[in-house]
Amino acid sequence: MTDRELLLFSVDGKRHAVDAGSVQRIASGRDPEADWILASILGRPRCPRRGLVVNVDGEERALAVDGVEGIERVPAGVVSPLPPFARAAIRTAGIAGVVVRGDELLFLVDLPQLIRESSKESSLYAQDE
Amino acid sequence: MRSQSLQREVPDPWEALGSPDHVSLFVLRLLGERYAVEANLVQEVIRIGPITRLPAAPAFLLGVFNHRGEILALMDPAQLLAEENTPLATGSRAAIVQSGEWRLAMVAEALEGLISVPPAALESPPASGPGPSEFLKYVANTREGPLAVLDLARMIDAARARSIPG
Repeated sequence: MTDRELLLFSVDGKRHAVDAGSVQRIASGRDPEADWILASILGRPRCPRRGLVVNVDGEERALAVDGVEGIERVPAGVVSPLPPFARAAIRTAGIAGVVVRGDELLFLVDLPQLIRESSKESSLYAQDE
Repeated sequence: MRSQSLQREVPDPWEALGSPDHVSLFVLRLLGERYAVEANLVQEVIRIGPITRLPAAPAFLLGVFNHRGEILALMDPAQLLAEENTPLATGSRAAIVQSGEWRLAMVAEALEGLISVPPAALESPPASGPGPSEFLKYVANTREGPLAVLDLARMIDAARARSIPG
């Protein structure tokens, strides 16, 4: 069974994981090149110091996060899909699975999907206003 | 004498699981009332470990937890029945249920266990409408009081439908 490289990050006091290969680079909070997403279903960073930059449909987008803890290589077996009922019940496709890390469960985030949904919500809010 | 009478009227629910003469039910307490699910849908009773809440989850989905290496979703039926929370404490128990392809854990105020009732004791629920009756398969009057049997498949379908963003 192959290992996976996960990048661990935190938003609003909670830790999450993303496949490291899906992150193009880590931007600083002052990087004007990135198109920033400040709030998502993960919450809003309390102190957005970093951004996880990914390619979303050909464009570079950055999810603002409180911190990046680093990259961790884990056996593929510690990553489970979301339970089917949970997958059916949550209102997002941006959570791809669960990482078992000792007693802790982290959500494996599908970052491009999460950013797509966040953008959609932002535009919906904009229409409401 | 009394215990002999009880044994005749309420056979051992484990023996009754395969008996066509009785229906085995797993009784749990929700919203201060007695509810049940068909016993063959209940696979295990467990103590809930630490729960991790999911982002963008509806109120009836309390989160996920690790049960001996399996990640399970934890549902609060009281949220579907009456939009109320089931109080949880350290060491609270849950029933792991399987309905079709859906395997999940259900919390309750208390898990009372198995009982066995004759099929004739089960009656159709009151006309359905919004509220708990929407999710009932049967009602029954048992020695311990009224009992409402949940239609687990309907609850799961309703939960999924409520989760689809409008």
